[in-house]
Amino acid sequence: MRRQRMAALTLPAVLLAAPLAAQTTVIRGGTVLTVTNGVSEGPILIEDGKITAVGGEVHVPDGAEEVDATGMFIMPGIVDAHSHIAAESINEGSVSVSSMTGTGDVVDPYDINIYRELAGGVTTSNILHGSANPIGGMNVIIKHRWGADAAELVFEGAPPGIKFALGENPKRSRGTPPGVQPRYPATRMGVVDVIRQAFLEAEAYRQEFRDYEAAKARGERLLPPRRDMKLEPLVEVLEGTRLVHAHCYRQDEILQLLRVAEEFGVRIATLQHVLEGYKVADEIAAHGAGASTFSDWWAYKVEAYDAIPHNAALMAERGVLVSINSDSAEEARHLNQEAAKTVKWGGMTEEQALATITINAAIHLGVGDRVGSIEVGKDADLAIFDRHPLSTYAVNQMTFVDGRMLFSREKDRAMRESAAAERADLEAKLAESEPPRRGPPGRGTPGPGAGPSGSEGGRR
Amino acid sequence: MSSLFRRGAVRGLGPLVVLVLAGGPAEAAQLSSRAVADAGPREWAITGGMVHRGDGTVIAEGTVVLRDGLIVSVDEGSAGPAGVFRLDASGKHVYPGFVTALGDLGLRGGSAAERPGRAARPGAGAPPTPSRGPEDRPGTFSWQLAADSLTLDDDRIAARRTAGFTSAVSVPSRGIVSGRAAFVNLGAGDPRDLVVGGDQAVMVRLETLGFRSFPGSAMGVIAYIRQLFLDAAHYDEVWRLYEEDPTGLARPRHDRALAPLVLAAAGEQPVLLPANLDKEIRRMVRLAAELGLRPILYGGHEAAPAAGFLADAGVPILVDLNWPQADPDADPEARVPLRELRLRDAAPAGPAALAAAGVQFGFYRGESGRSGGRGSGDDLAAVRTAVERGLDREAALTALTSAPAEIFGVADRVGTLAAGKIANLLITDGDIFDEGTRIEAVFVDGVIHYPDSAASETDDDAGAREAPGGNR
Amino acid sequence: MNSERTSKTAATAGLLAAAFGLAAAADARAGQQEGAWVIENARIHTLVEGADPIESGSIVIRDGRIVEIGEVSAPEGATVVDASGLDVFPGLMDSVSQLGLTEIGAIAATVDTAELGEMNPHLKAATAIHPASEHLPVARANGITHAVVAPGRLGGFGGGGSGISGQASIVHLDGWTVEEMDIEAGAGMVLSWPTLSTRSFNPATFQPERRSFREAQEAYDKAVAELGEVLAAARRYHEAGSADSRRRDVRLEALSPVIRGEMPLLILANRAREIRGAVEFTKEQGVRMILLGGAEAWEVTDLLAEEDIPVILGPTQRLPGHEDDPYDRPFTTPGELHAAGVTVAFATFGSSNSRLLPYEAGHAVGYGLPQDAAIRAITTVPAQLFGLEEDFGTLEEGKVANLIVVNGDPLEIRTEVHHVFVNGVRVPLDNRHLRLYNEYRNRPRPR
Repeated sequence: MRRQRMAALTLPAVLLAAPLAAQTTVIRGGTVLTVTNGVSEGPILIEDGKITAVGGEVHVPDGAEEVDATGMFIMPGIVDAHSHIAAESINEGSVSVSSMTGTGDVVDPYDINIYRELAGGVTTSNILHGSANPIGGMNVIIKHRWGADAAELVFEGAPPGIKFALGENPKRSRGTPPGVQPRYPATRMGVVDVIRQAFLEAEAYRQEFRDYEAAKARGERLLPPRRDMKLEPLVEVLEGTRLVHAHCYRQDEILQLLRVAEEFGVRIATLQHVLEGYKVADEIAAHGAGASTFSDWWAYKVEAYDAIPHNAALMAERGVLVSINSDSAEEARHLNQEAAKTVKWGGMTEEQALATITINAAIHLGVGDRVGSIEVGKDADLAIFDRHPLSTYAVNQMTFVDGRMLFSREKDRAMRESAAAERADLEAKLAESEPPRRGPPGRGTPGPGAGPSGSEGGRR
Repeated sequence: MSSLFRRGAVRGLGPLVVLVLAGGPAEAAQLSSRAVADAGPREWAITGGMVHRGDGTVIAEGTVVLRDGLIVSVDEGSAGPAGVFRLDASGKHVYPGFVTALGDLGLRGGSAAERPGRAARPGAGAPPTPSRGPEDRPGTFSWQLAADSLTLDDDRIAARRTAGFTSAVSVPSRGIVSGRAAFVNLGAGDPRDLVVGGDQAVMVRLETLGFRSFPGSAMGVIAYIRQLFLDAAHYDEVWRLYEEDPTGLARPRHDRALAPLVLAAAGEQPVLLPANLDKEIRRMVRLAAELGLRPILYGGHEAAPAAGFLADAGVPILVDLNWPQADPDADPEARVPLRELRLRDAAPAGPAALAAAGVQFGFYRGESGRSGGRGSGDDLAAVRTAVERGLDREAALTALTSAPAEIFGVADRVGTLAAGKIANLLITDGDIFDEGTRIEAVFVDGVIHYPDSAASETDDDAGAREAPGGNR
Repeated sequence: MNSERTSKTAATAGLLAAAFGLAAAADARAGQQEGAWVIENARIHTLVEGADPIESGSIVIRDGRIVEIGEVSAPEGATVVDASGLDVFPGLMDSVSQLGLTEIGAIAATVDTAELGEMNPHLKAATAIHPASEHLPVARANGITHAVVAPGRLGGFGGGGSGISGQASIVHLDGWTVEEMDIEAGAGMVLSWPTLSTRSFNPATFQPERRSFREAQEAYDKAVAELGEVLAAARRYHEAGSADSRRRDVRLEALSPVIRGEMPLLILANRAREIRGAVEFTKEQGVRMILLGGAEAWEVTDLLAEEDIPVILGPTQRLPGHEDDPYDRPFTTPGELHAAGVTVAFATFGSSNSRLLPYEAGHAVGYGLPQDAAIRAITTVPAQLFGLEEDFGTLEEGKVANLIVVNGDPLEIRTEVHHVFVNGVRVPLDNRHLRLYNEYRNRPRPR
């Protein structure tokens, strides 16, 4: 259904090349928190971006880069299942169904938060559309390959997904400005209705194409139906090839979503926020949805008033796969601390806690075979902390993505110095080349947006 | 249009030339400015100048003969035919007329008040019914041809011409698909006579329509463009099938937004896509590739790092001469992001990188404000800055002349000084890229327009008048 | 001896109540008991300057105060809390919060944080603190025993407008009424310092707006001048004294303690320039200043040290203000200020997240703030800043018994709070979250 026209312009090969450095690195010393196979000793061998050995006698090829992690704690790179960084827009709020949009179209490789989060040990993030509509836009999963261009940031091979949203945000409970026609829906009843109608529409659309293909096969002559980029992602949802990540809070809306999805044979991949998930954990587990929640935010709105910090632990107890996400460029910088809160509130084990920000999140995003634990064959995405990462005092020292050290405290310090020097140089250079600052204000100063061919300079 | 000559033709001539008509100097002296403008000499021989043909070749002492708006011949040292106006350009330089490769010249005069797209903008007058999706064709005016709404009642035309620009690519500037571009000569007379190419490219602008109207976000606009071109391709397909044999087929619906996009959707007409920063350049090239479009990018301030990428993709780009600069009204203590400093430094070096990578590019003057551009300085000065930053002079000339002509598919008509081509050219008292070089004469369609002091004097006024309102 | 001699069990029960919710009392206040208490076998972190922790000792509490500390035996009739293996610290103090002023952020009806108008020195936070707010027990359960509650819009860089939003009140996070909670109703005058910004956001049009630097500077200068005029008027009003028969002006009256230097101005300022402006202003005016927020305080450490201006830092866990800032700028700022000799306290500036106070402090430890300074910054330092050091901030005989019993370092997230004493009474750790946890943890499996 997603046949593309033959491109008149072919993509340069460079766009498709995975940014893997063919290099070998060995990390020695330190405690390895594998998350899936308990705590282990090093060394960790990394070849061509993949983990090729963990512990034991490791044959290290000549010329391998040596990283000394003595006394440190090595954990899998953190996976954030709910993020809005690195996107130039995240909400297409004008419509109730914005599935034709996608954050993948507006990835911003310059967003400094990619780096800041990398410094906090985050290596994979799920860049979601906002929660303005019952059916939102498509998401994109990125790796924090700081310095790469937008296409290279994208987690190659990750399954596609889409955002749904329930409750106060899509029903616009904060009101509509005067003079603006309110947008349907305005209630939770309407939210479910929008989702159901969209699924029905997608089914009809799929049928239209099936009918067309069948008729064509019979040799009938007829006009091809129009491709609808709003419905195609929803057809993929119906067919189980696109993951649904659904923003939700209250238990009733969670159930309604699960039921409407089941009506169409759809499994919701993840319930996002799902702050009242603990009230319907059994139902969530039975449906097979994952739950990606915050550690402890509450009371900022009515549907968050019953939020409790034990939510993650409670859902996990009932068999739900739980991850802790950030939904915030700030919070993402210390997801290790957020995970620690599941130990404090609800009594998760340390390994379970670490799993909420690594392997569980990776499984939620359909990339559990690639990232989320320290295992042979997985991507060498690692964070190395100076203390146990569940400690408040732990500071991430190095982050590896695809085996490349893209952050280290040491590199960062060096970068600060070079940036300061560059700034000084540029300021001096620009002070010379650019016209001096304008005199007293009050004279006509062209404002921003003085359109194409704004004011004309003559010969001077 | 005679405004350029209001102050008298002779004054504008300066020390440049002696007009020699067959009948003798006396007649030339008696020539009224009115006559020049209305009828003007139809035949000229420009002799003795260093002729830069615009194709990389230079004739040290060349003769360019013009007749009835066309170049009759360009050769070395000939005297040219008798009985024509003669212009002794000894010691001077002759160049093809410059092209400002994108803008809305000729579309913003009194009669261009009809501003397509305006009604679709919330906050501009009474809010219309908000667009609820691609099917509402938000901000789409693909049926608008710039060539249909040209006016000469636009002060900017004279100013541009004075600065050596004899042609412009004009396109309506409101909406997401704001219309189709015309390649026009910046001459005088009836606007209908100025169109060199009337339907050269589809203009796309990444404009959002506010929070309540689709598309309200950057990704919404891209999603819309994707759907629109898919729809146009589909439109083409179903109509073809229908017209082949309508028997038994449901009749497709007419769509005035799609019909004009059929060529573009098939990759047969270029689509102008905005791309200023490296990330935007890559994003737009990829989008075009996905949709099978033939892109012309515009913006290009961060072209340097993308130059190799553009070369590989074979995509041309129009570079905005409005180099980003510090905001003169900014807080002196505000820390400017390093990447903005980098951009301000690197933007004028972009054309050199493009030239080195073999990317085809032209120049235009874009919206100020984007990436800090302030719209100060004239275009030629901005090109000179690019030359100072490593752009080869010949490449700079190409970017001002033949490259935009090729990009917009009119290189068979304009862009170089060659026999049979449109007589757009200028004469300068030195190398055009040297500081202080003055433009002494400008020909558009074989008609001489002097850089006129009146026009120069009005520049500041024009700037002051236009700037605050701009085209916002 | 009281029946709670089974204190080991009680401690365990408390822990279980906290962590697993097995024994939470149905009545929120069932655990509260008047009379004498003794906490035995505890490692006591008195936080007295220069004193080492008491490795194993007792604390006797009576009539709301610590009456004995050290190697003492339990007095007759006291309820014993066995704190073997546990640590006792002074109760944590959130130096700026909005506890009790807001319940559900998105519902205006539940929010009493900021009054209209820009000159409200006569308004007091204590007037609007809701003793039954669900936020209080939540904060308390994580060891926050008392807090400064400040009126105003405290978030962000200059997002909240400028002016005097009212007086901050210090309260115990326990009490049947706000009067019982009261520690100091007029603890400080909250002033949001004018911001000098060329960019603003127009909420009416939903559009960012720009003005020239000159215009911004003029607006800023005018706002600062107006503040000076208000203080001048307050001074005239004060000097005229009671002999003046004019109608009482409660606004100017409320500023009297400020101009007399008895009440600090709690000045919310984040940008370096505005911090400098505020310091200069208070110096000129001869009034006491405590800086709130201080995101760019690192840029003016020398000035703050020189002028002895204490800083109540906004959340450590925030993003750097500028894209070129070091990624850890907000994390290192507390350590840098401390090293320069600036007095530093931490605050959450919030309500629902007040319980995270120890982690705001703890986060700075990894980035250079000494651990003991971090603990002091949420106990002794704020007590001193608000002139409460006679009663709060350390564990000493005679001090108000606001203290916590924990199983380790309170700045570590995994550390659990076992007992909380507020005003000499052990308060239950029960709260909304625990109740919901217990309720739904016991939900039968659906059929």
